Amino acid sequence: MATTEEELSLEAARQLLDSRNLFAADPDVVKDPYKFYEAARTIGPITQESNSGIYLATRYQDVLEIERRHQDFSACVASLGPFAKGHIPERPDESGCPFGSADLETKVESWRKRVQSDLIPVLTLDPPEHTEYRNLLNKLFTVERKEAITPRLRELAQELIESFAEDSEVEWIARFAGPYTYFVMNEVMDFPRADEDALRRSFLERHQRDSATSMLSAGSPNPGANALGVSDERFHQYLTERRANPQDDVLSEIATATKANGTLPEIEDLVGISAVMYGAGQVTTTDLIGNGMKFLAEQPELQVRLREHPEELETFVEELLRIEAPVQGLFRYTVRDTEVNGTPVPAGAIIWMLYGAANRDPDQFEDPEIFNPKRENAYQGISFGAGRHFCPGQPLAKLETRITFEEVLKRMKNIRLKNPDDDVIYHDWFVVRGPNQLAIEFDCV
Amino acid sequence: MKVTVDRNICCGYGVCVETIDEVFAFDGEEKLTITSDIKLEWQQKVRFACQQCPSQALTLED
Repeated sequence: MATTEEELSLEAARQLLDSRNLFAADPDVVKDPYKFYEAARTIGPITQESNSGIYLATRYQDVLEIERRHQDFSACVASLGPFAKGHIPERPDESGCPFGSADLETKVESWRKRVQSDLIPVLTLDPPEHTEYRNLLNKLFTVERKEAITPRLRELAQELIESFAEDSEVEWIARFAGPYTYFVMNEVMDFPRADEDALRRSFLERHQRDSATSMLSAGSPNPGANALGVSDERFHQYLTERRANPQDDVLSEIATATKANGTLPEIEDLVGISAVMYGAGQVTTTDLIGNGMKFLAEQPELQVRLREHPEELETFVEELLRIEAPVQGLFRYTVRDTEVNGTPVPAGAIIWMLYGAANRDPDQFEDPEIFNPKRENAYQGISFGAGRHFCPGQPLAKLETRITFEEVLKRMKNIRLKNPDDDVIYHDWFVVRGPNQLAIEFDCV
Repeated sequence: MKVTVDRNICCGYGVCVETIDEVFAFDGEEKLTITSDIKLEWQQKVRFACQQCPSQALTLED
């Protein structure tokens, strides 16, 4: 009987997964993507999504392994995912030539060159090129720099909270999460104040235009690069200035860092990297701070607890990252026939490393769907990726979020959702996870 | 518990320092240093840091 039950649940899982397209901004998927990930994990460690043919990696250990095996899994499609389909070589190869590994690598390299402008820098590189550029980003947020910027980050949070503290209600994303991560990023990059508004406008325009729905209708081959690509000319100018006159900021760090072989990279090559840092550092942390406020507003007793024990905010942030990964997953491309955890994956396949699913793998986390701000191994979540592409902004994101909620709890109490009976509406782009808006009410402390 | 780093492999990602800075640090020349006195309560995080190392430069001996 046990076998029958198991088969039935397998069948139900397959039916659920097949009932929706995970990449088409389907409202049910946007509302709760996790039940679809769980269905995929029930079916097997590596499960093919039938609408797109993309392979889903949903288990913690498998996602870590794929991140490490760069010889088999190229990062060239990291942010493109389903949008690379129809562009990148796939089986069956229509030219009729065998899909051997040497052939494929050459083809992928020529594809990579062709679509270069659509690929997010560094994120989509493989070793050895990746190693050279990644070296420039490793020292951006050292313990020393974090300490140096902490007072200013706190001041920025206090100023923003003060701007609405007397109102007893606020739309948290537009009035805090968005502007805060923007101010912080401008602070660590140290842009001239006069340029900030123009940068922000151009950033927001691009980001809105690239929502999943509009990308699908326009058939855009690449959402990510456009969403993150900010004013290249400005970055070129800033980087040139900082290389000549370095200051104590992140942009100067990028402008003056040397590659692994000791040479200075061309400014052109740093423009894209800086733009990605700037854009990615905002959208992802906005979501993290947005998700955090939702959990806090839903749990009055947690607010009291954390106000009395602010040192527990560190684990609160880790658990927040685990349960709602702001980046739900990035993609890899198999350059040869391979396998993961016993499941064969053919050459030319696109595989989605689902951090959002790995973080809820019951083999790694007990009662994974429960938000437990005291979870001992919460820090083991892989929301920043792993391996060579591990997010260099991780220390900053955690710092911003911790400071935010320290300051929130000092100035706001009895925080609750303004419309507790309405569903919170999340972004409809499958890569990211965060609320579009979050109206809250609170009492002033 | 003892941890060693292969400095020929270490690329300085700093994931270990970020995981537990009581144990891992970069010295002035940006070489990774590791404390020899790893307290019991740090061991779980140290284990995780070794597993997470992007360049797999850390070796753990129990």
